[in-house]
Amino acid sequence: MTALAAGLLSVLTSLPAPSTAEEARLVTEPFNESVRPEANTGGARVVGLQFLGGSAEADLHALIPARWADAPHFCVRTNSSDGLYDSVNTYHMPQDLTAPVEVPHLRDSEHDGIITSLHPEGFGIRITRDDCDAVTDDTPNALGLWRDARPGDSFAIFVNSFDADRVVAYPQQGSGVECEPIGADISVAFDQRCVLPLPLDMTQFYVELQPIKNGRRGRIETILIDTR
Amino acid sequence: MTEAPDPRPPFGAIRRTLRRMVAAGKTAQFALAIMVLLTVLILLAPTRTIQLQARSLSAEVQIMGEPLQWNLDGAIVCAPSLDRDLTDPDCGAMASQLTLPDEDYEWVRGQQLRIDWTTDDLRITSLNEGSNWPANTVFILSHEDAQRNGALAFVGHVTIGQEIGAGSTGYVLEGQYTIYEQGLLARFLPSWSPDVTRQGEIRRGDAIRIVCKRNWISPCEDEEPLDEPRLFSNQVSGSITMDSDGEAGIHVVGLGVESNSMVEIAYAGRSEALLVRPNWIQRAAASSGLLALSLLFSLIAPLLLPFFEKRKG
Repeated sequence: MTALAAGLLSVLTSLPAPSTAEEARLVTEPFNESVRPEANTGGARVVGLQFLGGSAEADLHALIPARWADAPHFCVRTNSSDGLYDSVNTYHMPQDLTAPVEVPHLRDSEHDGIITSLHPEGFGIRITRDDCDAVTDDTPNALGLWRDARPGDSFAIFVNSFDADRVVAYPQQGSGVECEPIGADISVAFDQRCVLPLPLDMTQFYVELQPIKNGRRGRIETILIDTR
Repeated sequence: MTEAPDPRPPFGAIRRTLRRMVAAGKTAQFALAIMVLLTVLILLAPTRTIQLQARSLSAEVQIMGEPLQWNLDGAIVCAPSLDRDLTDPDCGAMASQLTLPDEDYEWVRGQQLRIDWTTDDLRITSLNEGSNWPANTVFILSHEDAQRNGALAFVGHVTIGQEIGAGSTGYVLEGQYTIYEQGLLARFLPSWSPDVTRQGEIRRGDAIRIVCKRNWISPCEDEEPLDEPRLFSNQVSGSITMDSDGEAGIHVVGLGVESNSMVEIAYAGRSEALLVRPNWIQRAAASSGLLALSLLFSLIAPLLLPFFEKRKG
């Protein structure tokens, strides 16, 4: 029975992302991205909120909740863990939010070769409500799908620990989770991943990230997550 | 009326010399061949030994020789906790003291440790699970205890310092690397010591380690390839000691196993790490064997001159 369930699960997870998804349109052309020869070593603490995927080259999908329909735009920021690639783009909010929204990131990017060669844990995606210029600490986040990932029962937060000894993620419900080093070899822009269970009974919840260095607590960062 | 310059390239002298060499007697040709062969054998150095020495605020070690015990007398052992409100007076936030049986600080093969120097103490963090403790357990030693306990020696892989970035505290302060090489010829000569073919400074913010690339003579010791194809972490015999003059940081010294090794210098912001090894020019400039050979050649060259004269009849 368990083997059958595992088999079914592997078949389900190998399916490509839904093709019926509505495609997001850029608010401002052209696609805004940069590849630099020297890494961006600063940046934000939370760099990605996404389901961990496999190795296929499916494009990015955003799991935008229906309650975001009243906002005109949403923002997608991406970063490579080596700090050499990033993109910031604002998209029009699609009409149909019943299915994951396809964000044509690979198609619009001039550096799709670089992006597809990255380790699955070396590409952080952060999707926020409203324009990219209007994002604050209180702006809710949505989860992303990358490669052949499908919504599962857990998701990952990619975090820049800023050289902390530990980072512990505390979801609104349930116990804390110790963050672990990412699988990618170079971890300049972000270095830790916190894998948390997706709450089944909540469509909006927060996660607190607690860094600890040399036995001292660092500043807590709280992120608000909207799910479908 | 001036003469027009010769449009042909100035290869005349080279051509004349080559023609003379071809036309030279067998003795001269043999002597030349021996000289060329000796030069190649002196300059070919398929393996080398690299020594690192640095004063650093942190180092990361992976133990490859087991079992290995460090004298950690006086250490406070702190296990990580998920209890947000917990604060131990000795371990600090979200950690509790762990009591281990005596003499149980035994590292096993594959144990990854990060050693951090802070102004208050020396912290050894077990990055993976140990025989009696969970991952992220910290062994805290006062500077006095660390000094009294002596050197922390190891056989394994070492990375000195962390790439400097926002919030970094574990960077290298200063250091040097030295590359020793012995050409193929020198290996067959007794008591011929290796030459220092390249040395350089380690600067603040570099992350340094020794890597190995397989070639026909050097298979590389370890099985785990690094990110770059065919690059392996080179095994090192090393030690970590406290500074006896009270200067900041720990002294890390590592002597790499002889192999086709290189110094890998990573600096945050660089897309690729810098790989340092001597080229043949640096090898020639540092080679005492080549110096001896050129002296010898300058002595016997006049004797060979008659053999280069064009044979008549």
